[in-house]
Order: sequence, then structure tokens, then C-alpha cells
Amino acid sequence: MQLEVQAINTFYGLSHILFDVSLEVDKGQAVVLLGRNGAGKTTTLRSIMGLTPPKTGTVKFQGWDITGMVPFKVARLGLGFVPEDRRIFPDLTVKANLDVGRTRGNDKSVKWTYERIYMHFPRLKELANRRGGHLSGGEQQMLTIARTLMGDPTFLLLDEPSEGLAPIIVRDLGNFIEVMKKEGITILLSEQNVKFSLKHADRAYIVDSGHIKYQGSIEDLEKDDEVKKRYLAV
Amino acid sequence: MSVQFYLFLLINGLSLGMLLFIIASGLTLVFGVLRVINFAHGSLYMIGAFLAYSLSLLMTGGSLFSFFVMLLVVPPLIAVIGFVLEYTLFRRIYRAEHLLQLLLTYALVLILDDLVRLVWGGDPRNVTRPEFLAGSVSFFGMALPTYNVFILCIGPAIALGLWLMLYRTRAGNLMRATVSYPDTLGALGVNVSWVMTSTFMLGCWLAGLGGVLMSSFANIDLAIGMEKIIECFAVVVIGGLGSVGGALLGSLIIGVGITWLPVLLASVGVQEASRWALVFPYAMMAVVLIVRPWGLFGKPER
Repeated sequence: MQLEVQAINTFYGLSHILFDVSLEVDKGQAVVLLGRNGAGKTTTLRSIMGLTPPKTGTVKFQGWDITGMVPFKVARLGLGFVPEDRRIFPDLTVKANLDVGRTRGNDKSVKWTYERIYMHFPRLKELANRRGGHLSGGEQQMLTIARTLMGDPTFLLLDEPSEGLAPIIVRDLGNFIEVMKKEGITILLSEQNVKFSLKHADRAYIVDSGHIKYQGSIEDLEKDDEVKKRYLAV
Repeated sequence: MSVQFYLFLLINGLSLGMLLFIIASGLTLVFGVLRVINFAHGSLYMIGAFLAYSLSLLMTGGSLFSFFVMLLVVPPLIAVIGFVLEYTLFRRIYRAEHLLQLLLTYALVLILDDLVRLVWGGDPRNVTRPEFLAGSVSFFGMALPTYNVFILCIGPAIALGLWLMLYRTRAGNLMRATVSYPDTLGALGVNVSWVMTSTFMLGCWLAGLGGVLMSSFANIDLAIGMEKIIECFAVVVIGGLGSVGGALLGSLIIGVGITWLPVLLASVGVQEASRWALVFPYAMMAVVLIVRPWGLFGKPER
């Protein structure tokens, strides 16, 4: 198991957001966390990353206990986080945004170089000197993923990547998720877009009001109209 | 008054402005990245000036060697003091309300200023200029101190250096990224606390550099810290909090303004013109706050 989340409880101030959330992700898998707005998807990813550390429960990554570890140390273990609101540094150029994610410096063993990023996202190469604040939503989504990849993660937390994107861009995004899977990067993504998730994930969890309500393979979920109707409004 | 005389004053005003810029750029950089206005910045600058004075006593006064030693030793020493202050105090208050930040940095002003009084006493001091900068150059028949010309050259060099660092290096990218989203930067694997500590140290280094340059520019005494922090505050408000380019423009406006105004006012017959000129930085600050509250180069708060 590359990632093991065991019964975490997370709070924002006094409000209890996650209730005994547990999930597991195997190496090389793409797992989707489905749920409505406010169900606790983002909080789950943020808890794993250490951005909102859980009060109780444990998070284990490749056997290490990373519960409550500061995010930059978690990232250096190989966990990459792609925020839902993209958080492109607006005053930095596209190239500088990528540079900031290049946390392993000039290490020659890194898999993701500028050249490889530009090969997969030719648009980012064209925009290399444009300020991050002047990009379209789709360009920002590509850049935020590319920026995280520059740190060479072995495991990627993708928070609602398809949100707010035009269908054609969502298709590109899906293709790139397949590329990352081929590269051997494990993916845990949160989504509301059920169709997109069914296409690219191997397993699914459904979270509702901070509780895990369902877990199973994508094939099983696809057939389970009752569950889809109740939690996903499909 | 002749045109030459005003030109002469302009050059003096610009060199005063450049000195101000070196100090104010540190203040604005620290505010930009850490979101704290460090009122103790002026005290650190003053400690730099007095350290330069003490160091000069240990060496042959007026030698080029001693001047270089001061420039090389004192600013890093102030940066080390900055490190201690940041590590023990400042990092506790980044997310606190402004009032608490103001209280902490003001308390530091009181403590540091009294420490200076304790160590160096209240007498005005000065440091002999190195020989090759001690003379003057002839300028339309008027004697322009070589030292002012020297500062006039150092200022743009520092501005250029800061610009290159901020816009052409990874360290600069990290600092500018911290301004927008520190949490996101941390999740990318960057030790943001260290970026903040380094920025604070750089700001203090600039205060120390300003102190060394000031110690040979004019007399130094216990009042210079307070005097400079007020001018610097006016500068960064005029230029836009957090903007280094704005600090440069603001410094030059204030430097030239306080050099020109007394002469201008006196020439039109105003009594006690030099006292009126003291109001200039505040008046400028007030005008900018009314017309463009985010400063000349700043951006409105989101």
C-alpha cells in the first residue's frame, strides 16, 4: 500500500469536517474520491498533504507516518499536491512558476524536465514568458499540474482537476492523466465529474458529509445505479 | 539662483535619496514577503552605523582598507541580528493582527535604541571617509563631495542587483511566490519559513549597508534610527508597500524634495523655510494616500 489513511478526523476551527475517513491507494493505481460540493473531498486531500492536519487518525505514505508533518516535508517524500483553485503565482511567468516547483534543484535523476513538460504541454512553451495571472482557466490547470510534476512526485493528489474546464480541455486533461499513469505515478483525484472519473480511475471512494459511504472498483460502481443516484445525483 | 545651483542640489538630493533607497528597499522587501512592517528597521540601520564607527576605531581611519572591511563585515552582522530576531520573535506574529505586529516592532525599537545608548552613549560620532572619497569633484565651479557621487553610483547598483535577484534567480522566484501563496509554495516542497528568514536577513543586510554608508556621510547619533524609519515609511507608502521599484522612486522624490524645498521656499521669501521643508515627506505621503492609496507602484489590495 503506497498510501494508507486510517480513521482521520479533521476540523476547521471548531467544525468537524471528516469523520473517521479511511482509504488506501496501491502503487500505480488511479483512485477517485467522488462526492458533492462540501462533502469533504478537498479536506481529505489537504489532510493527507498536512495542509489541514487531522486531529486523530494516521496517514501513512510508503510506510512512513506522515500525520501532522509539515507540507514541504511531505512533498519532499514524493507526494505532489495540485490545488483545486490552481494557485498559479500571478506575478511569476509560466517558466518561473515551473521553476518554483523544481524542488530537487539540478538533480540529474529527475524525470520531469522543462523539455518533457513542454513536450506534453506545447502551449506552456508558447506562453513561457507570460505572467501566470494572464492565463486562461485551462492553461492554468495545465500549469498547476506541470508545476507539481517538476518536483518529481511518485504520488499525485489532484483536487477536482476538471472543474470549470471546457469539454475539449477536459479531454486533454484525461489524456494526460493516462500519460501520468503510464509513467507509474499513483494518482488520488477528487472529482464531481462522474463520467470523467469512471473513464480514468481504477477504484472509487464516495465521500458524503465527511463520511466514506462507498468503496469499490470502477466496474462495480458503474453498475450500481442506486449508489450513484443517492450520493452523486446522477 | 542659477540653474547650475539647482542642478547641484539635485545631485545632492539624489545621493541622499539613494542612501534612503538602500534602507527603504529592505523595509519594503520584508513587508512584501512577510507582511510585517518592521519599525525596528531604522534601529538596525542605526546599529549598523555605530558598528561601523566602532570598527573604524580599530583600524587606520580614512584608509580604503578600513572602509572595505566595514562594508564587508557590518551588513552581514546586522543580517545575523536579523536572523536571531526573525527566528525568535517575528515568525510568531506573521499571522497575527497588525496591532500586535506594531506593538512587537515598536517594543524592539525602544529596546534596541536603548541598547545603542548604553553601548555608544549619546554623543554624535562620525567616521572618516576613505581618502579617495574624501575630496570633491568640481561641478560648474561648485565643489560636489566625491562621497555623494559614490553613493549616487552605489544606489543604482543595489537597485539593479535587487532587480536581478528578484526577477532572474530562483531565490527571487521563491520570494515573489511567497508573496502570493505561501501555503501552495510549501506544498510544492519549498521550506517557506526559510524563504522568509532569508528575506528578513536580506532586508537587515540592506539596513546595515545603509548604516555603514551613512556613518561616513554625516554625523551619527541616537536620533538617526527614528529619523530614517519615518522617512523610509513615507518612502514605501509613496512607492507602494512591497514594491522595490516604488521604493526607488519614493526615495528619490523624498531625497530631492528635502534638498530642494528649503532653497525654493526661501527664494520666494518664506520664513523658516527649512522647517517647512521637514513637512515634505508627510505631505507627500498624505497626497499619495488620498490620490492613490496603494502607492505609485503598488497594487490595490484584493
